[in-house]
Amino acid sequence: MRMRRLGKQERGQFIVIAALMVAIMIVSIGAIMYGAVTYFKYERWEEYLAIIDNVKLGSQRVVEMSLASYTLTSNNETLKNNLDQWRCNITKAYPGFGVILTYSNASGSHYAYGVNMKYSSGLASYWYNRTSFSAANATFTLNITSVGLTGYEFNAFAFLRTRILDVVWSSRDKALTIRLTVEREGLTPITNLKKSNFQVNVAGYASANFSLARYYNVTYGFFLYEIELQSISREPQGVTVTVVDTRGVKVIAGSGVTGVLPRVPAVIGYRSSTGTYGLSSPKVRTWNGTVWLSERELPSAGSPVRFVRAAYCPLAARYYEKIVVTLSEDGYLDAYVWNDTAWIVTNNIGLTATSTPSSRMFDIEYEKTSGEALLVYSKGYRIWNGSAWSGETLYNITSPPTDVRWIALAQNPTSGSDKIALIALDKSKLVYGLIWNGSQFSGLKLLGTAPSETKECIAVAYESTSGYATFVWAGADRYSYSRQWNGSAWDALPTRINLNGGTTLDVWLSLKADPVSDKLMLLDVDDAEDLNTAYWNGSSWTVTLDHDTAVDTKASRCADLGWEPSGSKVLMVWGTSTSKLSYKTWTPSGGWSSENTITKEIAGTHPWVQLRRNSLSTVPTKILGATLDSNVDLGSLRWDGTTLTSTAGAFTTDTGVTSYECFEVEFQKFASPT
Amino acid sequence: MRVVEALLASLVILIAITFINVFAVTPLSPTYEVSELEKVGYNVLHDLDEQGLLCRFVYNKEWGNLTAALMASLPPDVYFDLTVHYLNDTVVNEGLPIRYGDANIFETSGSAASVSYIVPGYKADYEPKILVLQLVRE
Repeated sequence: MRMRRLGKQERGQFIVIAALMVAIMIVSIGAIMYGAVTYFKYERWEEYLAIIDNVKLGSQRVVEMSLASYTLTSNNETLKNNLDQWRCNITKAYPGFGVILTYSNASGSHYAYGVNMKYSSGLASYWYNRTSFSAANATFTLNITSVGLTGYEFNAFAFLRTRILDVVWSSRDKALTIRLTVEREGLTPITNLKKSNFQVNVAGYASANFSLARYYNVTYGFFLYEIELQSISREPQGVTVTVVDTRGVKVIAGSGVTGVLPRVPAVIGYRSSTGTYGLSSPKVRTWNGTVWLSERELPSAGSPVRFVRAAYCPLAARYYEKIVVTLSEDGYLDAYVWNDTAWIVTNNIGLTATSTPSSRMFDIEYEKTSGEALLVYSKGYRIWNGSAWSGETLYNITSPPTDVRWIALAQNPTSGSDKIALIALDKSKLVYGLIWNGSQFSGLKLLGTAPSETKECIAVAYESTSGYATFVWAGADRYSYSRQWNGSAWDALPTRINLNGGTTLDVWLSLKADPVSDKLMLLDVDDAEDLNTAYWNGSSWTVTLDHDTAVDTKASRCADLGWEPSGSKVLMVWGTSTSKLSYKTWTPSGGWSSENTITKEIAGTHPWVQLRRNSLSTVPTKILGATLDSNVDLGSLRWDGTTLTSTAGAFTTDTGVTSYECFEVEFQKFASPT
Repeated sequence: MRVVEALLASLVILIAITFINVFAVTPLSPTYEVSELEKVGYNVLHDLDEQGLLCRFVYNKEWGNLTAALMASLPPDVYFDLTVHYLNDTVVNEGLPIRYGDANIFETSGSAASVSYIVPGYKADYEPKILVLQLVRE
């Protein structure tokens, strides 16, 4: 009984003891918390962190404003000067904290964001390119001695990049559209720029007359700016866009025109030693409306290519279709047809009269309406119907057919016609004319006797509105002649063209038709290396003698001419001495201009000059051409209506020889869909 | 008897808790007020600076916009007074207060906080200024 009472008394004491222990724990925890709180309160961690943040952000701002200053003044000491002041000012701004900031500016090359930044005193810029940038870079070390913080390192980097994606000029709307991106460090797109942040220079002149749009482009997959300028009547040589972002950092990007609308491509087929098969495979390049694209090698023709002809389909439905035909040393023709997917190759499609041909005894031309192509060669012809070549039809232009030396075809451009005119020259120097009516040849006519069978002293072209086929040839009597087929009958007599006063043989002829009237222009290089022309007004010839009396050569056609698509002007280009090309223009009202020359990108003399006019008059490139020089370089020619430009060796720097016109340029007949 | 013991134990724990409370500094304690306001003030200035607004307001002397931005960013019960100084301590906004609340409250309040913030310049011009932001809770 006593024991049970004692037990009860002990349990009561334990409760008090337990309560005392809990009280001691509470007091102890309270003491620890108090210590912690007071420690935190007196150590001012928040303030130190704020200082660090402020110094970091401030340093970033100094780097940015130094870059802005540098891009305005080009003073590359700006960053150094500003950072020297900044480190002093920081110490003053936080007195008593012992803030010490040191820095080192980037130097040398750093590759990042797809550009190579070459720093000088922490600053770099690369302007006037399609991808241009400005950059500044410095590394800092921060010490706060009052809290024992040492060696806190951070980097400040400022960057602005502008990329011009494309510059497209629309000849139809006379508008220039520039699309570009603007990005900052981290390649973060800058999306808040306004018109005032941009300045556009077109052909060296600042233009304030532009509109600015900002949007996300699904095609490119990022945010871009679109600048549009109106009333740009000519294709500009180049544009620069100056961008100043909200920080004041500037970048100037530059670009040439990357696209022209509407876009009319062209093709050139040519001989070149390049590629797997060297001279035995023809090469092609495509003009995309602005530039010539890279070379493409076609399958081998079996032996070195000597002559090349090209033609584009005249049907809108098959606007892309083009045919390149080559004549090789083995005497065989090889045909290559582009069907918008692949080149359809037909090797040895025809055997011309002789092996090792030294003249072009074939030609290819499309019928205007049916879209069928006629390939004529000394033995006969074949027809391309849009999907396959017909079998060979033997046809004797001359008898025997092996006598043919030169063949030239011309398409009747009048609506509904499928007629093609043919002129041929045989080894006996006899000149023949005949007409393809869409299904067969007829009207064979012996036109006359030429002075040479080794030179192309024949030509044929249609008057564009009347549809009269005009045949011209040099006569053995030192005069040239023309004779027309009016669709049903020949002129009663040929018309004499007194190109050089009857004193010299005419040896190279080129005849081109005005695409909008019945005018024709005939070019003649004679045996005295004189350059003469004759203008046909639809009823008579007007001769202009001796544009030049010492052209580069009489062994090949070192001159050519071409009408602009509008028919308002003729361009004539010829080689007359080393390292220069001469040219003149002709207009119906003003006649021939004085002689001009170009020397840029010109080398050697020019045995061959070839010009072809564009199909559309609304595009900036009026005429394209090619010239084979004495260095066996095949270069490009471009005429925009006022300026002739040349690029020596643009197509190839090795055709091997200059003996043959081993190339031809041809424009697509329609603008490509956009 | 057990009741008395239990009462004694409770009393001991109550005394301990009361003792601790005398020294306790709770989150709502006025002891935190100044550092809290400093933190808020600094964060607001830092955020405005990161957005590029602070330098624009200061260097273009857009005092009205700066006042509005601070009012929008700070809690509504916090009064502020911002002065902008050149490095030589001259006040830039002399006579043009950037303030919310009565001027006297910053002198009379026992828990006024003060934040210093340096901005180096604007766009291409290096011209540091020091911002001093005083804060008081209503």
